[in-house]
Amino acid sequence: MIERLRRQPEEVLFFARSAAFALVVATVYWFISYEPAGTTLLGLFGVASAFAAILLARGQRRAAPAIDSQAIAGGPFADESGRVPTETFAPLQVGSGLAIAGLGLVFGPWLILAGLLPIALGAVTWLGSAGAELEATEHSDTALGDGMAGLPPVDG
Amino acid sequence: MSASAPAVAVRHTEPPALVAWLATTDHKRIGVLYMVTAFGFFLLAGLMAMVMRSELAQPGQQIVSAQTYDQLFTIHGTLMMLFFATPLAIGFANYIVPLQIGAADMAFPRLNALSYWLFLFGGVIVLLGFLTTSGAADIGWTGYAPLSEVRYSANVGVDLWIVGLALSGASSIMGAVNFIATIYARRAPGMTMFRMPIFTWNMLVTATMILFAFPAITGALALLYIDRHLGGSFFDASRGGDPIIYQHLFWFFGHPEVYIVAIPFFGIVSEIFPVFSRKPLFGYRLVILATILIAGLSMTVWAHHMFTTGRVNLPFFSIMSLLIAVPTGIKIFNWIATMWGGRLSFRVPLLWAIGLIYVFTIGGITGVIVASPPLDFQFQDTYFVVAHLHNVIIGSTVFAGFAGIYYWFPKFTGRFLSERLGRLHFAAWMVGFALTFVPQYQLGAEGMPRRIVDYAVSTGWGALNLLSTLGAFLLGLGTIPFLAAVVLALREPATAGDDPWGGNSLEWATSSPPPHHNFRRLPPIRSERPVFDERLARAGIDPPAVGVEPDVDRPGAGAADVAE
Repeated sequence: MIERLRRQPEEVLFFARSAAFALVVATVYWFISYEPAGTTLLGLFGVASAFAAILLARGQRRAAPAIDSQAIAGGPFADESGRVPTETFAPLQVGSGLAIAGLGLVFGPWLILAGLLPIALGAVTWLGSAGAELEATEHSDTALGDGMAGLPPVDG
Repeated sequence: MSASAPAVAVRHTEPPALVAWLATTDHKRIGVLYMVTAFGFFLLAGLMAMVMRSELAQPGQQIVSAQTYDQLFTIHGTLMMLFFATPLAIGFANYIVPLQIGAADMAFPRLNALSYWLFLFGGVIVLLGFLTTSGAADIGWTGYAPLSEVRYSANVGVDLWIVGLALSGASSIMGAVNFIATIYARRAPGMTMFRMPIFTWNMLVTATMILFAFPAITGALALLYIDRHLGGSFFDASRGGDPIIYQHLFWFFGHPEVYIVAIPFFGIVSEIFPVFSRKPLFGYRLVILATILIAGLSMTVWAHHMFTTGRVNLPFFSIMSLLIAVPTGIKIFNWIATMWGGRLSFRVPLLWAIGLIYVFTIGGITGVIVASPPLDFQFQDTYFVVAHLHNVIIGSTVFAGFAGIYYWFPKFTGRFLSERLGRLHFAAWMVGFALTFVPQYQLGAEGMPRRIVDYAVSTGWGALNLLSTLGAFLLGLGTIPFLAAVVLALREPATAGDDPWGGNSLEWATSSPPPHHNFRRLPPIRSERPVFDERLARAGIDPPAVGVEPDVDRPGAGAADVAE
């Protein structure tokens, strides 16, 4: 177990150490205070860190064969595609919708309904462009394999 | 993507200016939006502080009503902590982190834009309270129950405060996920974790803290809302609830928050000291370790804010709080050791960074004082705590924030900020800060409570309060040279060049301002200072193992030609 942990990259160890620290402190805290609120908060901090570490370790194991040797030796987990989306109003639409819906909690439910419209508009644009991005990435991966240099930006 | 890798194709067509900003997903534009908005909130919170200081300048003074005064200190604290300090750090990180790791953008650019809009709308919603008939929230930035329960604070402003903070909290959590994903997944090949620039490391630690601390306040706000409007009784003792639980939830977020706002700014000065000392950062790995220790310990000390409730374990929280002084001391030692024996160039960014050491260290030392329960019982809710908090928060966020702006402004715009106005700005803030907050330590020691609108002549607090008020106005006036410097710089042609200071990290390897995709090429990454390495390689010099760097091609850091 310890040997397996040692073989993990720094990215995973960062969260694993954080989990160990929080769980040890939570245990010590419980036995010297018997105070449930703080113990729960510290315990959840430890569990959440451990969850992140396990998730990263599993993700890294799955991604490893696809990454070149330089990346495995200490580079990033995923590849750097260089792809960036172009301008889109989707985040502004979703954000303003959430803000209007939030005001509905203060001034009445009708504002929550009013907020749903920009949220829906933004979500449709967002999901559409994310789908287009996925498609373009798959296309570019094939093209890159054929020797094309660089990646086009993605609309939306 | 290395020196030999194919260049990224750039086919980005610039839309009209308004669309470019409102619909942007570019991390650089979002970073600028964050910084400008956060600075706007800072100016607003500063004006509120000046009104409050005017109110306290003399005993018997009546400039605003007691209720308005309560609203002012509530919104001042809220804006400074949650809508200035944290977002300013996120603004810097948005602009700088992808550049420092050689990425084209954040991992989730659209989510990044959404984070900004939620932060902006959250701030506006908090401020909307001033437009309601009952006024803005008046419960203190901590929003303690039972005062914040509907029985004692039925005003709409409190509900707007809850909703605004919830939106901003959601924004911070989204931002944290984005930063961790970006740093983990988008680093250029060759950039191992221990070749990452120190600012990026600090942002990784900060993002992790946000991820674990912010859900606590979001949960507390949700429970408070349920108490206020849906018949809940989580924090209402008369109906079986427990107001102390609110304090646990709030401070489990609130104390890490102090370091969430401080650690990124420690990262900024950790970038500045080496560049202006012409030495590598002293103990790069030790500084990272100290940062992680500060973060870890800061998650375990929340209840030192609750010593006087009588419901917390005093020795545990006192010891953990005192322990934080150790890694913090390591950092300060390493900054001084970085300058020690270096060829120092006292340009404005370095002045502000040194200012941080003075101001923050005083905050740290007084923090050790209030970490001791017998003294904390004495100083609880006095002006001593107010002064300590400002030394810590302003010392880190504002001093290092200005250091970062003067340092990276040439990268953001291709222009220098005026050195002369920058020095005037710095001098006014150093003097103004001491004048404002040193008297407050004495006032606190004499027992002046915080959050009072007036005091009797017989207390003898008038003279020290007047001094403090004069200091506050000097801080306000001292900000004018900075605003003037920004306006003047933006009217000048862009002549700063790509690497005006002779920087170390990758942001200095691209143009100023960088192109849409950030890099046309990247230097090979073989250490935490790839740009410095390349500069040496160009000059045909082997990198020195230790000590002062050879003087090669560093146009700005040491040159006497002060840009005006």
